[in-house]
Amino acid sequence: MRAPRTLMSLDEVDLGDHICQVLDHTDDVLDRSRAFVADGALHGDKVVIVGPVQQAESEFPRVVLDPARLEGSLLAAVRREAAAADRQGFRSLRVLHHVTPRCCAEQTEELLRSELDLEEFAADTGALVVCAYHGADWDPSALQQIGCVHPHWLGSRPISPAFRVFRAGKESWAVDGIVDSDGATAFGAVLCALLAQTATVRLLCHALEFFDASGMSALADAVRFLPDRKVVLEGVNDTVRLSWELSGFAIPDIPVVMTP
Amino acid sequence: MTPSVPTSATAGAGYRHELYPYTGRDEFVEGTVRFIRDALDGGEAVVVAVPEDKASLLRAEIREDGAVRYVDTSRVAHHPGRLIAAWREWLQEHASEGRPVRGIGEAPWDTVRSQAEAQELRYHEWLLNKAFAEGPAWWLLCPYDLAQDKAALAEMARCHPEMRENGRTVRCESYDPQAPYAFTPLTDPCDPYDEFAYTRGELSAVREKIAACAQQHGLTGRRLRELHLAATEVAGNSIRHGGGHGVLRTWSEDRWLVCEFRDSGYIEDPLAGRRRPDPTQSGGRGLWLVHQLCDLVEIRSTPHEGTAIRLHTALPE
Repeated sequence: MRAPRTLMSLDEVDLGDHICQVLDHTDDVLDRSRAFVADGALHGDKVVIVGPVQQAESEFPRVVLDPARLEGSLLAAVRREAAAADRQGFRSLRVLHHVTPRCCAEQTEELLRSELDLEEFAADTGALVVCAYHGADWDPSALQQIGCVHPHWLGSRPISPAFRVFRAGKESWAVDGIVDSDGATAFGAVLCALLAQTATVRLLCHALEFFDASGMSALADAVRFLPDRKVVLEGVNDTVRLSWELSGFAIPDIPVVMTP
Repeated sequence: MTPSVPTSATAGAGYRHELYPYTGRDEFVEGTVRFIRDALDGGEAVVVAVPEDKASLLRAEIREDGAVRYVDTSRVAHHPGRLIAAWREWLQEHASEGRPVRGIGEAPWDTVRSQAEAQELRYHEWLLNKAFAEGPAWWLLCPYDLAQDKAALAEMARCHPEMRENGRTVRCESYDPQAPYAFTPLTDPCDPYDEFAYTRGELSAVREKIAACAQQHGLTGRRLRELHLAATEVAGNSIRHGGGHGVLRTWSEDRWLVCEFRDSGYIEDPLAGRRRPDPTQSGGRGLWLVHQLCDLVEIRSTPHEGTAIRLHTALPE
């Protein structure tokens, strides 16, 4: 299973990594893109840069995808590129996603969904995906939430969320770290995003260090939010299972299964 | 959720809470058996929640049947914060056939594990009046063995509206339903103790401080995880409702690890955490879990002095 880690530089990336990189205001998008293209060439990877990067588009016209001009979803586009890379004999696909804020209330929710799609894509295909966020452009709480769905981080001030949810195989996700009142809202948002896509979410909790009552409430609310959904938590310790029952959540109306 | 328990036929309106001071086993049996027989004569059911040695005395006189039920108190007897919810469940289960219900409840006074536990057991007796003030109506008799601690009878009388004297029910003059509970002041922390001021974003640090103290005293594994969960709820309440910060003190005292949290918040409802949460309610589970996971919880809260909560966890032998 992929292990979450913090990277010091892009030299340490590996296939299947899904990296959250927070850029300083001094970081130049074009410089980053050039280095990324060069690394791709060095390793025999096909490179795709996603973002409204006009200068990059003129410099690397064949590798830039502008989200505003995509036909279909970003996920569909990178899947097409990955299939093409495979046919064309590249080692893998390497995606640099320059994520820019949009002005709408659903932004974080949509972005969370998109990042979970990219996480699943990276884990399932072995593609390397770097999501670059200019820290100054983003609300810190939104960045923390987005950071929770990246197993890998990079940057001079990398995001270090209290917990991480990441793909752990074809049919399952894993959560590690700490889910307490500081992260319960983000945890609930991630679960809602996952449950919106699939009827049963299997979540491996063997590396979940701590899960408190607010996290459990977030779990209960998320699974109640949509009909006919179920969450299966595996590797849950006896304290969490006891607290779940004591909290009154162990009822059929809240379809959550917890196993050791 | 308030259970639907029929009004006791002999209780009149509302909840009756009667202290029964006695001396020795014979007097215990005499008074409680009479109470049960009166209930049965009136078509009422009885829940008996007393220590096992006392229950066996009563079983010899009145066997368990559809009308008389002896409940196992071992999971809750030494945890005063769990007793009100336990009584609600016992009453609800026993009232299923629609009969009015009486209860007999005696704390395990002769095996209390600390002065703090004895104090909290007496506070529980006082809280029962608040817990059942709005219903359901039932009649609880609380035997109290004067051989244990005669001096504490006055404190017990302040917690009961009525008292049984010479076979008659009389009013407890010292019980004042409007007065706040007269707590004994918390003892000073034992030396040496550790102190840590916490604020937003420092719940992990709170847990680390507790783990360091707990591990010094051999408290690990499941019990430490339960304490961590309870401590996180209390410290989280300080941050959300108690002025955004608090102070943690940890120390060991006899066979106990004590974690004390102080903040400037005020817990207005003395029953907070003593009612089983409804699955649909939003939040409000923190103090409930704290009472369920800790061996003993002391809560002192006033608008002027803020809140102090002590979590006691038994240390391994």
